[in-house]
Amino acid sequence: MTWEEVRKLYPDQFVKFKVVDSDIERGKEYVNGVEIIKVMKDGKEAMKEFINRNEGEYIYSTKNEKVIIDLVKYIGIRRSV
Amino acid sequence: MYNLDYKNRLLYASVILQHGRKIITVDDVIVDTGAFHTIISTDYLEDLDVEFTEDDELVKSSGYGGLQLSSVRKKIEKIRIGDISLENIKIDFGEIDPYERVNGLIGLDFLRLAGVVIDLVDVTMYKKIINEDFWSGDIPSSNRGLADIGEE
Repeated sequence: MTWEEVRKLYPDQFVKFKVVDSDIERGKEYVNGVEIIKVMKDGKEAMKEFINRNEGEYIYSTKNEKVIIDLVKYIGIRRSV
Repeated sequence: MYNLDYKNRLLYASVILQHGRKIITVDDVIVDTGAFHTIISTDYLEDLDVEFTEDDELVKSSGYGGLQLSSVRKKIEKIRIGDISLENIKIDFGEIDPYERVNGLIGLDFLRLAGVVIDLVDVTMYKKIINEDFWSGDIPSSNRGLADIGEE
């Protein structure tokens, strides 16, 4: 489903989704297509869903016109064991 | 001035987060000039009792094996380490290391925006008095102009 379709179906709500189609450019992932997992009624429920998210799952408000994910590279902490 | 904790051969600080009516302390946060963005473990979102908002941004980490959970970038009303504080700074909340528990990293964004000097001889950090020209530097755009550099 495109984000535009998601916004029409679930206006002004929070959704939990997986990315199915995206373009990566200069450290950002521009999401075109998503698979909706769950729709939440408010920010409180959305936070609960975020805390219990699985790998590859995102929570976002459909008030946002576009879905852009900031990509961060993790190198790791070097410390004594 | 803030006394850092030097253990496991790393520098640690206790970070106080304030949002709404909640004030929480996150102990053992690593002061990490190698991290471009401050990140706190997701567990503390529950303690802060914050809701997900329409302004929250999506972040994905890559570069290691193991489970890779997404993070959320959230504007927090106040973050403070000792007498060094910033208001309305965007902090990432997520899992920092998939192999072991890390409470958080104080990144270069906080350290630069707050004008922090780290003294590795006395193992302290403090706020340097800075002028306006400082802001022409390469502060992450997501946090530029959001700092409160007023007197404590």
